[in-house]
Amino acid sequence: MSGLATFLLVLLAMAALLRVDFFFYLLYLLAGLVVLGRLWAQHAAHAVASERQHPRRVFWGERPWVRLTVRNKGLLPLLWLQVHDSVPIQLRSPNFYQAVLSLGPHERVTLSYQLDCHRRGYYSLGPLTLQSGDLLGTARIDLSHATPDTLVVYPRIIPFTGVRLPSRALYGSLPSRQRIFEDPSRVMGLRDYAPGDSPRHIAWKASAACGRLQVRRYEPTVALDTTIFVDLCRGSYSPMRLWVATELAIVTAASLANWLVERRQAVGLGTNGRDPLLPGDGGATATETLPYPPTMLPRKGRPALTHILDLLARVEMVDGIGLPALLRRETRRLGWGSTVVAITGRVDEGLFEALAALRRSGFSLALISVDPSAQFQAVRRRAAQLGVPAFEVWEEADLERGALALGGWP
Amino acid sequence: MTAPRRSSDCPAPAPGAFRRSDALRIPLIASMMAAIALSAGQLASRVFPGFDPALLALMAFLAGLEGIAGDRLARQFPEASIRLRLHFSEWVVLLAALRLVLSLSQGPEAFAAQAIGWWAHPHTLLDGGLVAAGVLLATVWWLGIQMSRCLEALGPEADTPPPNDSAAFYAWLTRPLEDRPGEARERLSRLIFAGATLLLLMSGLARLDLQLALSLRHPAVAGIVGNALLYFLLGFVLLAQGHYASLQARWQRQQVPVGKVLGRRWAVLGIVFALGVALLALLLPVRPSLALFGAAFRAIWGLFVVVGQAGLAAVAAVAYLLEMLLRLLRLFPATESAAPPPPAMPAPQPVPQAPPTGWWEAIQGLVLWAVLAAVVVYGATRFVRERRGLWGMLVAQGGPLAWLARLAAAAGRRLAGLRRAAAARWRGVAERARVPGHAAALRPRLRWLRPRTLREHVWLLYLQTLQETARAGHPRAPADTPYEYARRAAPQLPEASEELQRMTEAFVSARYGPHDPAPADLAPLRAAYRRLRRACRHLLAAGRDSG
Repeated sequence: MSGLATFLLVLLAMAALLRVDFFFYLLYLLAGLVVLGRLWAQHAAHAVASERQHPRRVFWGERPWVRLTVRNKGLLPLLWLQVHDSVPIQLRSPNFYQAVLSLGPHERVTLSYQLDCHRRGYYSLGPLTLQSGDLLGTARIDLSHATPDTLVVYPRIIPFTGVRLPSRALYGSLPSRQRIFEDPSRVMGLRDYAPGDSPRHIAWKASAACGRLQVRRYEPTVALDTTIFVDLCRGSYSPMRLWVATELAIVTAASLANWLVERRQAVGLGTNGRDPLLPGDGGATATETLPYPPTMLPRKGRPALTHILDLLARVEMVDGIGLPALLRRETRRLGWGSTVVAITGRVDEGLFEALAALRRSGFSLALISVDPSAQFQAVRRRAAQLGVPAFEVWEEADLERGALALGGWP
Repeated sequence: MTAPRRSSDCPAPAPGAFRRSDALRIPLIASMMAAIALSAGQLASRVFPGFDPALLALMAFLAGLEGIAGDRLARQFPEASIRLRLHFSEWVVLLAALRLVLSLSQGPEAFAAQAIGWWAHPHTLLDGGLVAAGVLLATVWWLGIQMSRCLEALGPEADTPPPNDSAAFYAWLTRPLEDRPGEARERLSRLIFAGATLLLLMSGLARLDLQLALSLRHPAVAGIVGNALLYFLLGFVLLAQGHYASLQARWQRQQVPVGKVLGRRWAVLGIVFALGVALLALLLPVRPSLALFGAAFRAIWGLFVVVGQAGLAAVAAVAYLLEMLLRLLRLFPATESAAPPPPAMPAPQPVPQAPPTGWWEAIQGLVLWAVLAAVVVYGATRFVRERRGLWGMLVAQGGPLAWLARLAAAAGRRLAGLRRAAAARWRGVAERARVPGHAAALRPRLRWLRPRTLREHVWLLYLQTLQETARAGHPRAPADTPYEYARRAAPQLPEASEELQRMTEAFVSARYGPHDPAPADLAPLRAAYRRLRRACRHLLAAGRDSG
């Protein structure tokens, strides 16, 4: 308040010169109003505590509520308090929430606002800034409550009707058309004995009941231990579809992982993108030494899916190593016969060489292109020569239509 | 706690229109104007006994109300001529009413006599009283209008935001804003303080004996100045409400939801806080403050008396010596007449004695000292708390006293260094001034009084080098480049040829090089300059001896 100090001095001088008792009283009154008002505002504002409550992980498309609890821990009432909570622009527009309150002693107020989670990602909420002041506007108090609140928005998961992925792993739970993968623990019926049948498969009780030899028929199953490799190298995508295609790759990987976990299969994930939580992520330099998140080996169950979705939510595109190099490095630890699904935008000869090497090593392979070019049929033919089914996904609607269940062969 | 509502839900009024809050604000402003006029009336009643100050206060109240309403009405018209005519007619009515009030305040008989006089001599309508009261009325009229305008500017803006889902909404939300409420609030506070100063001045003058006003020895004036208290409380209410209105305007611009209880709580807490502070202020004593200022004034007065008496004694001594001298020269006639009797000292005025201190004043004194001690302790605590490392550093360096001693020693060294530098500079200036033609050249060099850069240090050393070599009889020709001059002068100065070469290289590097010289290079350069100067002076002395 401009002129207040000058006026106080003038008032003091007049009180001293004119020697009017009451002027001193007015001086005390005015000084008290200003000084005590400032002290009141400062002490009351520093006694404010805040807490933010929200779900830590949400699925794509959800609209979670964030609840801000503002509490006055002190005995002095808080005249006014402006609450400003910063929110990433991807989750809310405008990218903040504001409210003005007045808090009595020990009063607690809960404020709520909704987020719109339509972009997967790893977001920080806050900081929460509080602003207060006194009655006359002589003091302004700014406080910042920087709480490390994070929110993970999972990528969109599209339910599949079916996926045709090859596998060579025995004794799984997925039915197979190849009879060599019969599981002796899954009896699916009986038939008459034929020469060449193993005596161990003869059902003696049924044979006695029928009066002729019967053998058990077993269900052919495979285990689909799958590791999904998502290519997030910037150079693997056409510039026109860079953002769309990388997001489509992540949606495809998340949907595939979800489908596999629902069928109780083990699933893992590898990517050459950048995880912002990794220390020393180093920025986007096109060097071979750029770190990437460690590849998750195939695991079963919901916890494994949660970890995969967490990483897929966080991971970002980067100018890093290409998918062929990633496959060569990270498939060394995978078990023989497990399935490797490569999701990428650009399919070139280098990738085919890497796939051929993996094929020779005994892996079952599948190739999904999310940025297919006009020559995709040629790519598919070339992949078929290697025994690799190749799928093309142009948009999310393709996944909904069952693009991964249609074969992948020319 | 109810959910906050958006502050923009209420439609913003048009500029100049009356709002619901004006029903409180305008009478408040008019009451403050009446409080000022009451003080002026009390002062006038000292000069004109029988004058009723309440009538002037009533006039000021009405003029305040009318002025604010008239101003808002006039601002509805864009044409200046219409506004001027409105204000003119307004002031004709105000002055006529003031004339009637001033005359009626002297009684019905006097009013009747004056009315007859006005009929016969219309110029008697305008007298000194009317002019003085008119000036006062104009002051409070203007003050009230300005306060009202400030409060109006503190309110919500008239523009309505575009719909939330439109493309223009974000541009509207992030548009650059003038700090209109902030400026208006500052202006409002200045106006209130100006009015308070006027009021207090007139109230104080109305309560003391004008003859003793400047002596500070008049007795303290006790009693409550009701109109001043009213003005201050109303001013506090206006400032608090103005601040609230400016915050509301800001929140409205930012589309911030505001809690419903905020306005009511603001009013209640403001009233409770003001009453609490008023009661607390009542506990504080006034007389100790008066005594403090009285003691300070007596000290200043005593100092003034001592200085004055010393001056008088000095004048008397000079006069006595002069008289003796004149007598000695027989220029001063000897007077036989007796010295005139000393003037009679005026009888000291009786100083009213303060009443004996009672228990209530003792409690008040204790409260005052407790408040002062609390302020000092609080300030010291905050000072130390905000500088956490300070105390530890002081203790680590031997305690505060040792630190103070070191500080004083460092300050002493610094002062001594400054004194030496000033003396050296003065000697240099004096020496240069003695050289013919250097006085004129000295003037541009006043720029060296400012702190020099490192480059300038080197330039100065080189220029001083040139002065020394010139004194030694080897001046630099205007066409010489530095290196040419060094090559030419080096054989003449065999003892200082290395130093001259070094100074030349340093100068060329500092003058034309891309980088500043290092601070560590200055000391060797200065040493080289001193060696060169010594060599030049030896050469000069040798030349004199041989000559």
